[in-house]
Amino acid sequence: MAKFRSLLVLTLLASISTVLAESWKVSDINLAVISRDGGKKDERKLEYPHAGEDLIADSTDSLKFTFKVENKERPHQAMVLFKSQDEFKDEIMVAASVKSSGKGRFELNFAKADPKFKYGTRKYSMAFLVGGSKVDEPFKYTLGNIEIHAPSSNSAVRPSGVEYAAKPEIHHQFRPDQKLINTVVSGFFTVLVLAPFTVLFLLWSQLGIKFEPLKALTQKPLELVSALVFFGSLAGIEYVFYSYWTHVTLFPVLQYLGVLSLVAVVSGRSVLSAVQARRIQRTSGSAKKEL
Amino acid sequence: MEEIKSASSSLLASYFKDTPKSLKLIDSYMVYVLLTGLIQFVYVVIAGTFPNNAFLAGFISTISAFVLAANLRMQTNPKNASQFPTTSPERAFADFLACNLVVHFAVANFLG
Repeated sequence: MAKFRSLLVLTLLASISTVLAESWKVSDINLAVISRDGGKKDERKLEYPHAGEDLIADSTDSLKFTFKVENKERPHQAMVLFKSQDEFKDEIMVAASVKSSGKGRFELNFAKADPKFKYGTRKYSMAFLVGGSKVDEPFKYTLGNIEIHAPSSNSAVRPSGVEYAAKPEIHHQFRPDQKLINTVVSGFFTVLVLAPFTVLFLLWSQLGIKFEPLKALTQKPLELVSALVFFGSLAGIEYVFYSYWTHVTLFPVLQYLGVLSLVAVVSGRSVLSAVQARRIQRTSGSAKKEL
Repeated sequence: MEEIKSASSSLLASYFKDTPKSLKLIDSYMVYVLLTGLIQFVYVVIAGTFPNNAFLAGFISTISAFVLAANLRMQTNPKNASQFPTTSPERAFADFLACNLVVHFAVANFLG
């Protein structure tokens, strides 16, 4: 409960601090159009949030912009965003430098500035943006419009098409499955791989093995049972492997294997020691063995 | 050429005469495993290794079965009995089975 209360207090404090957060105070915002010979052609003294009347400038003029940031905190970014008022909506950012006193300015010579200013006579809207890390709310002020005339000579033509357009959508593609060989061929080889079994049984039948132990086993039911259990557990282990391949997950498989291998070890010991006893009993001189 | 013929025929004759039946049993098993591995390899040359794990599992299982059978043959051969004084043929057979089970587990794991 105490933890919850402290959390509540913290959130309250956080919300109060956002309410009391500092906002940008900018004053002395001035725009002036300066002709090439240094004379002031036009001027706007602006008061936030009122936009000034439209300005008109020649391609050889420059635009002088000054302001003063009243906050103690210095902005990290202060810029004017020019946006062309035609169908292209070209955007041009012009950054202003802010001194430690809080005074900021830039002087933009349209002849040397961004080539986008030279695409014919166009009207631009101007927005003043100020932002910094310690002040949550950025400052945005629509200054007004400015019309910049095309250069009298070698006016550039705006390339058609949009500069920042969405690229075509990328669709994720999985790697296509590799082509498998014709089922006739693979089926034929499946049969062929199984064919050596016939070779195996043919060779074994040629050996003429006598199943002597089988007769002995029928006389001793206990050994018969243990032999059956042994082979049964081996077959069971192989079946568990098969089902592991097809559908069963690892951990149940390990449980089955634990049980079955225990059975196999115990029964295998008794079966194989019985086999050994028979072998030692039967062979005194000859080295013949059975498996 | 004649010598090679006579040598191989005498080799075969002595093999059929002197080799114990249990070893012949293992030998035929090894022939079977060898043939299976060869056919798998031929298939891979023809069809390519696309389900690569399947080919590796099959081929490795034949190789390891062959190796284990060879080990069983060595340990159960009466002529090698002096080299394996503590390993009875039954013990060797039990080892063979246990190792085969381990190999089959690995192969089943690899088949995917």
